[in-house]
Amino acid sequence: MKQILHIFVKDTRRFWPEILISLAIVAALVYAYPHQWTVTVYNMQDPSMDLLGRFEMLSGIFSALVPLGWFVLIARLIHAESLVGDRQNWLTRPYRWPQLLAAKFLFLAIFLYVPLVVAQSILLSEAGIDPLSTLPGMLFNLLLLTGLVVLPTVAIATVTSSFIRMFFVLIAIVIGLAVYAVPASGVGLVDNSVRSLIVQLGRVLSPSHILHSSAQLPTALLLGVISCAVVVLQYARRREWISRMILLGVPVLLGCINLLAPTSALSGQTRLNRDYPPQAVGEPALIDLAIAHPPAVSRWTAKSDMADLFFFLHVSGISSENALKVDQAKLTIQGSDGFQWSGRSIFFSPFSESNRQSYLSVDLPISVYSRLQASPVTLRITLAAEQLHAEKQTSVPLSTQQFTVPDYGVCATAPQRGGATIFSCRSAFREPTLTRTTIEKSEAPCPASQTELMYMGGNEWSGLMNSEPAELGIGPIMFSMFGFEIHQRDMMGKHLCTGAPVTFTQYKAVRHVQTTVTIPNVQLTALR
Amino acid sequence: MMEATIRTNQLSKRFGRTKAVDSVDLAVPEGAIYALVGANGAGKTTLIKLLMNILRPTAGHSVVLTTDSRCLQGKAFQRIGYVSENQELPEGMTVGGMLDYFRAFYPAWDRDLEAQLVRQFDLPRGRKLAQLSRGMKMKAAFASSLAYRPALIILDEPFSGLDPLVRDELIEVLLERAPETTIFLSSHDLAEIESFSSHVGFLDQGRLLFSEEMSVLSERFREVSVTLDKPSVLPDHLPASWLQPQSADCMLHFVHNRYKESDTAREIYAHFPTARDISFDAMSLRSIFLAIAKANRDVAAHASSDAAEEAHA
Repeated sequence: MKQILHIFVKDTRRFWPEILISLAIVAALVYAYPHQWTVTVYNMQDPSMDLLGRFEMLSGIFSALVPLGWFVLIARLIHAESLVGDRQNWLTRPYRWPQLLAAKFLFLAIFLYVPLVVAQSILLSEAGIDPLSTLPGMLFNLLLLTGLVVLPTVAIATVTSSFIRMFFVLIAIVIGLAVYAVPASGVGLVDNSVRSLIVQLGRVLSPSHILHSSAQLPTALLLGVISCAVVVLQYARRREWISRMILLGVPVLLGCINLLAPTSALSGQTRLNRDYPPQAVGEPALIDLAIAHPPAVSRWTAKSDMADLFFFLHVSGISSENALKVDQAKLTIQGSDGFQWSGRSIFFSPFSESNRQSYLSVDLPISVYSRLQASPVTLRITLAAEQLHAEKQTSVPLSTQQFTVPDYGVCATAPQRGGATIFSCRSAFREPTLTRTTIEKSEAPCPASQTELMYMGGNEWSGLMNSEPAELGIGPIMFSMFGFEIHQRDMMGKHLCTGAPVTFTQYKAVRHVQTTVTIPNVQLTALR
Repeated sequence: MMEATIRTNQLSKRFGRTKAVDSVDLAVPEGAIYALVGANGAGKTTLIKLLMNILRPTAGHSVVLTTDSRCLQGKAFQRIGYVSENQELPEGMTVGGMLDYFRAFYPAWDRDLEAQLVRQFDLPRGRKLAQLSRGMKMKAAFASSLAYRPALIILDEPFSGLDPLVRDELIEVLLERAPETTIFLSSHDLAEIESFSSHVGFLDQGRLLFSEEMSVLSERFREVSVTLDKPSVLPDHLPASWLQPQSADCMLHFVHNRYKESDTAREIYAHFPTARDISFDAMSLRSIFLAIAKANRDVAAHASSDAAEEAHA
């Protein structure tokens, strides 16, 4: 223990400038981050929107700078007793490697983890969330950060001899991640501004984009174990080439796992049938879809050789305690002569009892459109979906002030352009479980003691299906928004009053299922 | 018989196809001042790094202070002081900071000796190592490696590139420590080594050509000058112990590496019966080193030309 403290004190004295810089970045994050919810006006024409944009960008920059500060700190710390090379003075001094390694981890615990935990606790308190109540999420987030960021960085530091060399490794990793993540994201310069590029790249390289939340824990465990093995091998034996080979093998291993995973060998339809088994014969229909009338307004696709089909769907057949979250949708159009065309589409919101209207948009090649438009066609909509079941309900009175929803987060109204209001909610370390929000409208006018909300927009569904207690990230607050899909005719003679009970219903996936809905006798010309 | 502080057994190290250290068998007795000499690239630094477990041997093994060098780490270094010309010191620290830091690692650290060394070397405790000259850095390294009275001091080219004054200071301090320790040092500065070494080993292209007491070596080597009655051609087969034989007119010169006055004289008369006068001159370590190095080069050149001729044939 004496040697551990001795080395720790030496490192602290030596690296105080790096420590101060790292702490300053964390402090800046603590300052900038809460402005994301304290500046709540979302009106694009309001000058304060620019302020909000700046604070959002600052928060993003500081969130990225924190791990960069760690990178510098870890590199300097490990290279102080470099494990690569044969000229280091410490190699022939009575260092015991477990003590040396322990001293390094003590340093990281005190100057990396403690400031982060303190900063996250401050931010949670600022957001109106009790930090102690989020302990599992905080620990899970630390586990992810350790496995995916800290330990791999320490491992890389143990196989590099200088900061410059380690920096080049970092650049290579960032380029590798960008090559992996950018093509799928369709990132590009929208308005030719550097800011736009930074924002888009930041989004593409964000942890949740690179690594799906369900894959974060296994990847963190795998990377963490491999990194630990490299670190111990280096400190105990200094086998730099073996260690380098192990680390180089990590991306190869992850690639192989991806390629050799059982699903990878299957073709698209086979995999879909496996992951989303078709509904059993004779089982009652999970959903019924019909073309809504009147059909869509006329729309034109940007591509001249494509015809954009767009139509509203009337949804029915879903029981009150169930919902259907569509992960993939395929539209097949069959002509009277047997000719078929298929295309993919997406549905943004789960279907529920109250979500009675949806829409479908498909780009159809103009040649196909020309062939099929003459006579009525049959539409087959195949849905690969998760059947959801309502689990837990919480009711809170509607308020224009900040209010807390148990197991959901802290919510506040966020006015939108045009006077609409949605609710912006903050939750700790992850978005809330997939939740549907409903409200009771009043037949009578609001009493004088209550405020009437004139119009509310937005999606009644919010949150994520995954069950992990946290997502990888530096900032502890996740934002989600919900509103009430209120159609004008629903509101006829009804009033939305503060104090009305807002019901939050959490849903749990019951099963994955594939179901097909057939709509015969559709005239394509009416849909374009 | 004295216990060997360092003993190597067929110690070898390869870097790719290059044999940096080739089957070295070496024993350094306790209390010795052992000088490992050899030309640049002979493998001295590699051998020392093998002894210090900085590098791992390709074959063979060595024992340093009763510990297999492959297991040398942690506490074992509390009894070893190691200084190398190209060692990276913690340059961000001050001299005093470095001494304070290392002190905690050594239970036997002698604060009085530390103060004495700092005084003797005139070390500025408050200056950063990065700001010191090469000589001062070497002094600081010496002070930090001697203050705990190590049982074994290993020095790799410690005087290389230093001015004579600094060298004398370092040697003086080293000799003060000599009675209580074993010193193993490598150098190609033979004149200085000769003045204080008790043992010497000669490494050439990774191979240890000899390893013995300095006095025995000095006794063994003689520069021989023979005056002949008449000019004579060198015979084809001369004894292997005659290094670099050269003749001109009535004079014959060579270095004898198995010198024993009576035997050597008899041997000369056997090959040159007309020898009139024979003189034997003692040799400096530098002269011995050069004679061996040149002889080895000649042998290697002969071997390669023979091999080329055989291949041609």
